[in-house]
Amino acid sequence: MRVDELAEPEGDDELFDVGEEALRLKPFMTGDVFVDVPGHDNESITVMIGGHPCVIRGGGGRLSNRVPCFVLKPTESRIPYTDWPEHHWDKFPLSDALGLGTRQAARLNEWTSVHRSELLRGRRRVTLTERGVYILQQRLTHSLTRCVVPLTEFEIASKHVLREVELEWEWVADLVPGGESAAESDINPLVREFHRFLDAEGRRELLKQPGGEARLRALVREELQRRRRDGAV
Amino acid sequence: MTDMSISASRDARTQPSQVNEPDLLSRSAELRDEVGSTRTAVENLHDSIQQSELDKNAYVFESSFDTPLLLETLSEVHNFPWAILAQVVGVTPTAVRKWRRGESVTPARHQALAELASFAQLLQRVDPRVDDVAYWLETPVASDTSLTRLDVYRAGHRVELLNIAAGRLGAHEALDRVVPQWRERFSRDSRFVTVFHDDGTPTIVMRSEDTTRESR
Repeated sequence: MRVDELAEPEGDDELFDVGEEALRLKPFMTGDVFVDVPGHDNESITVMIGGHPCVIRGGGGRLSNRVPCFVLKPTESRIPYTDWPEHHWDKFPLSDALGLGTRQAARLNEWTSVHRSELLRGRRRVTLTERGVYILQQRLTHSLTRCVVPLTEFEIASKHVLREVELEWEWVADLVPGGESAAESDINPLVREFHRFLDAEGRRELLKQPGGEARLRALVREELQRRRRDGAV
Repeated sequence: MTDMSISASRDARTQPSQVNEPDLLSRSAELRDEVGSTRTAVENLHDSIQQSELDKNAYVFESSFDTPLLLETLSEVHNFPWAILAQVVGVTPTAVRKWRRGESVTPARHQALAELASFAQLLQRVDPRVDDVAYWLETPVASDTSLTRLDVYRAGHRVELLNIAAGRLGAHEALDRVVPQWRERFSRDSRFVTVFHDDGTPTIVMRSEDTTRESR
């Protein structure tokens, strides 16, 4: 990628993770797509979370009260990845293979504010990979400002949150009974427990230090091992 | 230096040489060329031995470890995050987590995991200071490029990475070899910098001389 160009994804797997476990257990994050969300006219709409990872996550792993989202609508024609750098700058197209309908795209200039109670795991249909989040952020910034910020900078600015998200996901997936079919009521206490673990003994501070996320990952995995060994699962 | 030695060295410079100068010139040039070729031959030999070592260890991992055990080695011994494992193998993090639970994986992807385990092991032998292979791989090859060592790894240039880690190959020299157009295509855009405020919140700003807050 040239530094003055928007990114051209190589394929769906680079952007999207729609595995059952991700849809059910991954923490809510920028780029998640939800169906059946009530719109202003009480019509159901499909939305994609648009806020920066730092903006949408509140304390204890909960979403902020209101979450800025893009509205999804079909485009007139299919938009291949090769067109992403030069065309359709106000859209983040979604592959037909995701099952959201044909030629869907998040409209980067059509925003709506959604209450967190409407963004349920059961309504989630798509999550983005880490790189998918950076590419979305790059397209959004460009659509609003015509400034192409390199993906590297988005990565530096978001990676600590995305790695926290990955650890929360690992924690929940390892401890929740029922795995992919776990109930929301089983998942939420584990999320709170994870954040209590992070807040204790200054562990969360490690995410702000260069290389600290690796130390934190090791601590989380040690704790998960301990809990499995002690039969807490 | 004493007066006597200064005078002696002046004499040595001004007096005709005892040996035939054209002979000396050509012999030293030959010697230099020989050293150059020997150096290249030794580098090639060492590179091929490193490659063999990588392949041999990868074969051991591939044949003796099932995929869940390989993933356990990579996550618990080498502390890899799932996102990086997914990027190395070219799948989603969910797919990796499924393999961890014993779901089927293609032989090519099992082999890719074995190769990564082999690389991680040899990297830490080559440079014992690398205590976190994932972090090392995620770091840019040099400060003026957006290419990370992981990009170089994914392009298949593992021996070059080992040589970088061992200090035998400079980052720019390695990039010139493996991605000849890196300066045009993968220069880091120096107009931007990410700064972190006291509360840890990041902001991407245009670089200026008074960018005094902590940048990464």
